[in-house]
Amino acid sequence: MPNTANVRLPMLSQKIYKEWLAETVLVQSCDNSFEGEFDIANREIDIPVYHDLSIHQTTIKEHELKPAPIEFVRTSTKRVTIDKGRYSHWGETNIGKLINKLTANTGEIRTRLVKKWALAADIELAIFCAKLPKKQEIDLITYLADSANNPHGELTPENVVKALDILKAHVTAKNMTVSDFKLFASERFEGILRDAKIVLGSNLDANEAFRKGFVAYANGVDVRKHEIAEVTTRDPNTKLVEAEWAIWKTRDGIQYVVPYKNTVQYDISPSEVLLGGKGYQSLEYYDFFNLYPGRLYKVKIRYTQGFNPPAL
Amino acid sequence: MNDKDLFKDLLDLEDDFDEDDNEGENLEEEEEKAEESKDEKESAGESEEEKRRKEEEQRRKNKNAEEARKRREREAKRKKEEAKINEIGRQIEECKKKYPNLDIAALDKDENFKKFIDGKLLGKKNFTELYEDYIKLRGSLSAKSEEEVMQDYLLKSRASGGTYIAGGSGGGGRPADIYSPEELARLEERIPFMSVSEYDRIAEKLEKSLAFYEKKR
Repeated sequence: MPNTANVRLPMLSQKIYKEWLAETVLVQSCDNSFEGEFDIANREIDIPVYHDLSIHQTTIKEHELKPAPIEFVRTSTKRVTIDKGRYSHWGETNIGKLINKLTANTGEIRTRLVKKWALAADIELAIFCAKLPKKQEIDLITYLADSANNPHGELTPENVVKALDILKAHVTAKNMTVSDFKLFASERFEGILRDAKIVLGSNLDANEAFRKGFVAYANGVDVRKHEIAEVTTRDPNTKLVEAEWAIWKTRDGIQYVVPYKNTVQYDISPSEVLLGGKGYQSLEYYDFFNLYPGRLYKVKIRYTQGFNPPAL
Repeated sequence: MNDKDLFKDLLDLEDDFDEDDNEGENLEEEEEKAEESKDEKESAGESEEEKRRKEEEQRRKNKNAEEARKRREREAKRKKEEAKINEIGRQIEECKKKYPNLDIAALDKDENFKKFIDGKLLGKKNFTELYEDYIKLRGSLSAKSEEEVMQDYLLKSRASGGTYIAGGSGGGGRPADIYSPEELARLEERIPFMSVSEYDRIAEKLEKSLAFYEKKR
C-alpha cells in the first residue's frame, strides 16, 4: 500500500503555485516556460530563447531564385542558474492534519499563503524593474514637460494620450509590435484614464476582463493595474500616488521560472517543540531573467509637482 | 534464431572477401596473359630469353608474397568480425540473465530500437544498458511508465501472466486507470520538477489513484 500522504505533499505545492500565480499581476504576465528537468545539484535549467527569425527577400523571375545565405540556426534554449527560493513553515507537525488543512478548498491557511506569496513575488519583480538601467527608461516627466503649460512634466488627463503615444512610438521605432506590450501602473493611472474619458473596453476581449489587474485598452495600449506600493511615491497624508515607476513590457521581456516546488519535512529539535518532531515547509526555487532588454522598460511618471518616483 | 545472429546488420562488418577473391582471379589472368606473350616472343635471342625468365621468376615471387599478405589480412578481418559477433552474443546473454522474460527477437524486429542502438553497439555501453536507455526514452516520450514500455518486449507466455500492468486491469484488483504503488513512488519524486502543463496531464489520474488507495486503507 503506497504512502499517499508523501505523494500529497508535492501535489500541494503544485496547487499552491497555480493559485498564487493567478493572484499576481506582474508575475503572471511573464513567460514561465522552461525545458527539461531542473538540475537540482547545479541549480540549472534551460529556458527558451526567442531569437528573431530572418526573412530573406528574393525575386521570382523565370524560376530564378536568389540563394539564401547559409544560416546557422542558433540554439533555441539558454541554460540559466536558479538563485532564488521562497518558503513558508507550517505550524503543524502532524502530516495528516496538515494535508487536511491545506487541501480543503475553504482552507484559510492556504488562501492567506497564496496571497502573501503572490504579493511578495510581484513586489520583488516590480522593484527589479524599477532598478533597470537608464537605457531601459522612458522618462515621461521630461517628454511631457512644456515650459508654457506643463513645466513640471506631470501626467494629466489632458496629456495622457500623448504619453501613451510616446510609449507606442518607442516600440515602433525599434520595429517591434505595440500589441506585444502591456503597461503596468498604479491606481492613479487608472484614475487619469477615467478622468480623460478615454473610450474604455473598445477592444475588450471577453477573457481579459477576468484577468487580474486588467484596466482597459486605452489608445491601443493594454493597461494593467498593480498594487505594489514599493514602486510608487505617495502623499504622506492622503496616501494617494503622486509619482511612480510604471512598467512597459512584453511577455518575454521577463522570463520568470519556478522549476522546483515541493513541501518537505524537517526535524524540529526538542528545545523548540516538546519532545521534538517533524515540521513541514513549502518551498519553491525560482528566478527571473531579462534576456531581451529592448522588450522591458521602466516608465518615469509624475502626477503632482514636487514628487518623484522612489529611488530604489 | 541464434543470439549471435541478432543485430548483426548493425555491426560494421566488412563484406569484402569476394573482392579479395576477385583480386586473386585478376592476378591469375595477368599471369596467363604474361605466359602467352612469353610464348609469342620465344623466337627472340637466348640472352633475352634468360632476362625474361628472371623477370618472370621475380614476378611470381612478388605475386606469392602479395597473396600471402592478403590471406593474412582476410584471416585477421574474419577473426575480428567473429569476435564482434561473439561479443554481441555474450552481451545479449547477459541481458537475458537480467531480464529473463525479455523477447530479444521482438527487439530485433523493432526498427526504432535498431535505429536507437545503431552506432552505439559495442561502444561505451553494453547491450543491457542500451536496452534500459531505450526503455527510459520511450517511457519519457510516451507518458507511459517504464514498466508499461517493457511490457511490449516480454515473451508472450510471460506477458499474459499478469505480473505487469496489462490492459483492462492494473493487477492486484487495481483498475487500469490507477497508478501502481511503484508508479506513485516515482511520481512523488517527479512532481516537484513538473511544469504546470505537465502536472495537469497527470493530476486527474493521480487524484483518482490516491483516493483509491486511501479508500482501501
